Formats: sequence, structure tokens, C-alpha cells
Amino acid sequence: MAMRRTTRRKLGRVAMYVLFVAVLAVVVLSADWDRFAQYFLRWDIAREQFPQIITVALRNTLVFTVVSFVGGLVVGTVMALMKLSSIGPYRWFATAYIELFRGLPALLTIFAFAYMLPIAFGVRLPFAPVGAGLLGLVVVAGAYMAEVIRAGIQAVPKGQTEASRSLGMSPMKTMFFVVLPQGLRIIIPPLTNEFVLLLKDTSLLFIAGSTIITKELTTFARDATTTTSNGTVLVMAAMLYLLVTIPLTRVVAYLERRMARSR
Amino acid sequence: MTEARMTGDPTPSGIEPRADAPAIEIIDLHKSFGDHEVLKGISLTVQTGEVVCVIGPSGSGKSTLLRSVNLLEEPTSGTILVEGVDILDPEVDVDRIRTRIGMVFQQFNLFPHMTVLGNLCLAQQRVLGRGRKEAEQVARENLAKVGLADREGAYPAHLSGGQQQRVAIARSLSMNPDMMLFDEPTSALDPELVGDVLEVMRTLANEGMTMMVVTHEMGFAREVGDRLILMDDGLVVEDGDPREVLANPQEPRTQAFLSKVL
Repeated sequence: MAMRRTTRRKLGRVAMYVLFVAVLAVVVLSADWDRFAQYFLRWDIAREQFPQIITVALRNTLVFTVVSFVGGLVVGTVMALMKLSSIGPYRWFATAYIELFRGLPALLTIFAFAYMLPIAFGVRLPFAPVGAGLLGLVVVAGAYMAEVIRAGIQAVPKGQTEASRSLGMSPMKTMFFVVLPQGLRIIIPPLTNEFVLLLKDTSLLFIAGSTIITKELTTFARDATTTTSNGTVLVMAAMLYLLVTIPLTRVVAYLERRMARSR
Repeated sequence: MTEARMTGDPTPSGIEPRADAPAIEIIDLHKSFGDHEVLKGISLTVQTGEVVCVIGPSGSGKSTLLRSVNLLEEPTSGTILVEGVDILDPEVDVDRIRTRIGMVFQQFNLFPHMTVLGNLCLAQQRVLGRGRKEAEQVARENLAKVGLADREGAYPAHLSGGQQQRVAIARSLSMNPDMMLFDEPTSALDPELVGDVLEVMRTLANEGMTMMVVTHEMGFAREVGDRLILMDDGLVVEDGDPREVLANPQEPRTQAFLSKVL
């Protein structure tokens, strides 16, 4: 006897749920949770990490993120303007820069800045060794942001430039007072996204090496894992990352909805 | 420089504007976009204080002509003198010339990230070097003139099209220009908002402002214009007193165009 179409669909859905819960249960039940807790969820070890995991590790992660974001914004703006320039060599340089540092793994770039730069120029950057690695992160951030900023600038209607120029404003003044403020507003959502990506990429700074006071979250957790022979601190670091990134991605979603409405 | 100008009216030109020179003098102006020639040799003179309206079918080159006067379009060849200054001379500071030429666009082009007052003050402060107080005072005078004294704190998005266009006019006036260019200033407006903008333009004309207006408003052209120019296919077809041109057009092309729009 033929079932009604909606009944059949409902039954199919129930079967999918049952299968899903069954798989989940098998995975959860087959794990050895006591052993897991022993290696990854030790309260005594967790408690020992305070306050350094916040006052040093999380703080450094945030400071490095902000520094590389602001630096990347400056580098990215310069590269975007060069890429939009009418002067050929500027355009070529910006294109080469963007292609190079977007094409390389961030880890390699940080490594290069941390070790190659001091050797090539015989300089030690402040906060060595992490300072040089941070410069590498700025350079990578600048390459990614350059394309976003360029898109923002190009999204500003041509009439804005024409109105500004017809008032006697020079190309430079037009860019800084009329086009850039509008372009940056347009790209707030992708820039916030870039901030989240950078926050995670600060974990790559471990390759530059670190001292006790320059450890960021991942380095801190890796070192603590070695000294305690236990993975609890890695879990703590993971939770601290999420504590920052999840609210931020909510902010991005909110900003995107607001932008969509205002258009 | 002088030999090159022998074909037209040999007005001596220099870098400094001269009071006795016509406001705008265009001699044999050509402009091409790629293979497409939009202006095919335009010559015309706008005297100081004159209101010249330019009409014509779309694609006839009216806007391109107007935009050439403040170099938003770079002419392919020809000469443009603004108050006796050859603006195509590489020695001439285009930004300085532009401060003397107000421009009003079809799409208003107000700066959306600034308040009305901010829109009016930006170029005064950044280009003319006026202090904030002085700039705001000039801005308020001009806002009062266009009937929007109470909207100085508003953002453009919160104004109607007609209000935005009046703010745009006030923004241009705040630079104390010697002449104003209007590029279809009422074409993007709802019909009931056109009147306010035309009223402001009429006031300006009565105050003796030199104006070049690309428009489809035949009523405005007839009542306010000192001269009417009809363009077609990159050329000036007819140039004369608006009442006469509109009442008995001499050229068949003018007749054809007017029969469609009137």
C-alpha cells in the first residue's frame, strides 16, 4: 500500500536522525574517556597555568594580532594605492609583492624574516627574535589586505572622485578625504575576517623562536605540554582562541547584515 | 602659443585669469573615446554673467562638452580658455582653475560619509585653506541661500533628491566660483522636486552668475537662459536667443528635436 508522500519523507528524516545519533554514540562510547581526561583535562595542571596563560600568552597573542593587523593595514593601503597607480613600475611592484606573499605559506615568510633578514642586513629587530617574525606576519597581512582594500577603493563610485576633483581637491586629497574613508567602510566585514585569520596566524610565530615574555598562546601551550608531559594546556589554548574568535565572527556576521540592509 | 590660436579669436592667454576675458572660450574642440568622435569641432564663447543652456538628443556630446570645461574629460584637440587662461597648458594648475568653476552633477555626488556641513566645508578648508570657523560661516550662508539652513547636521542619505541637489549647489557655491556648470541637474529628480532646484538656479542666474546648463528643462531655458545652444552629433547646430530658437528654429535638426520634446 502506498504511503502518503509527506509521511514517507518524515520517515526518511527520522531514519537519518537515528543513524546520525547511532554513529555519534558509537564514537563517544568507544573512546576511553578516563585516559583522555588524564592526558588532556587535568584540573591541577590547568590551575597552575594561571595567571601566565592570560597575562603573558593570551596578551601576547592579542598584541601580536593588533600589531600585525595595523601594520598590514598600512602596508596593504600603500600596496593597494600602488596597484591602482597610473605609474607602471608601481603597479608591477605591488603585483609582484601581492603574488609573492600570498603565494608563500605564512610560516615560510615568518621564517625568512626571522632568520634571513638579520643575516642579510646585520640588524637585530627589537623584541628579537619575535620582532622579526612579527614583521614577516605584517608583510603577509599586507599582501592579503592589499587586494581587499583595492576592491574597497574601486567600489566607491566614480562620481565621488569627480565631485572632489571638481572642487579643486588634488588626487591625493581626494583619495584620503573622500575615497578611502568610504572604501574602508565598505570593507569592514572582510577586514574583521582578516583580523580573525591573523589571530590564528600568530601561532606561526613559534618558528621565529621566543623568550619567556614573548610567548603567545600556541608556543606557551607547546612548551607547557613538554614540561608537564600532558596535553591539558593545548586544550586550554584552544578554548582561549575560540573565546576570542567566535564573538568576532559573530561581529562580522552582524556587520555584513547591517551593510546589506543599508544598501 | 599665439600662432596656434590664430584660427580662432586670438585672445591673449596667460596663467593668471583676466577680468576682461570671456568666462569661457572654446575653440575647435574635439574629443574622441577610442574610435568614437563625440565632439567634432565645437567653438563657442560664454560671456561673464551669461546663462547658456545646452540641449540636444542623448549622445550628442552635451555632457562631454560641459565636462571638458573643467577637464573632467581631457579633450583630444582644441583650446579652452577660462577667464583667458588656457587650461590645457601643462603649466596651468588645473586644481586652481577648478576652484573657480563650480560643477553640479546629475547624480548629486555628495560625500555620503559626511554631514551636509562637512560636505560644504571640506574643500574650503583643504583647498582654499580657510579656517573651520570661516568655512562654516560661508557654508551656512550658502545653505540658507538654497533653503536648507536647518539641515546642516543631516547626512546625504537622509535628504530627498531635491535637497541633495541643492546641497550640491551650495557646496559648489561655497568655493566662491566665478562660474557654474550644471550637468542635467534635474534629470535624476522626481518631477515634484525639480521646481525647488530650478528656483535656486534661477536665483543664481538673477544674481549674475555665469552659468552653463545642460538640461532638458525647456521652460527653464526659455525663461532664465540668455542663450540656447542645440547640439547634435558632436556639433553645435543652433545657437541663439532661447525664445527665438524655441519659437522658430532655423535648422531642420533643431525642428526635429524640438518637435519630439515640446
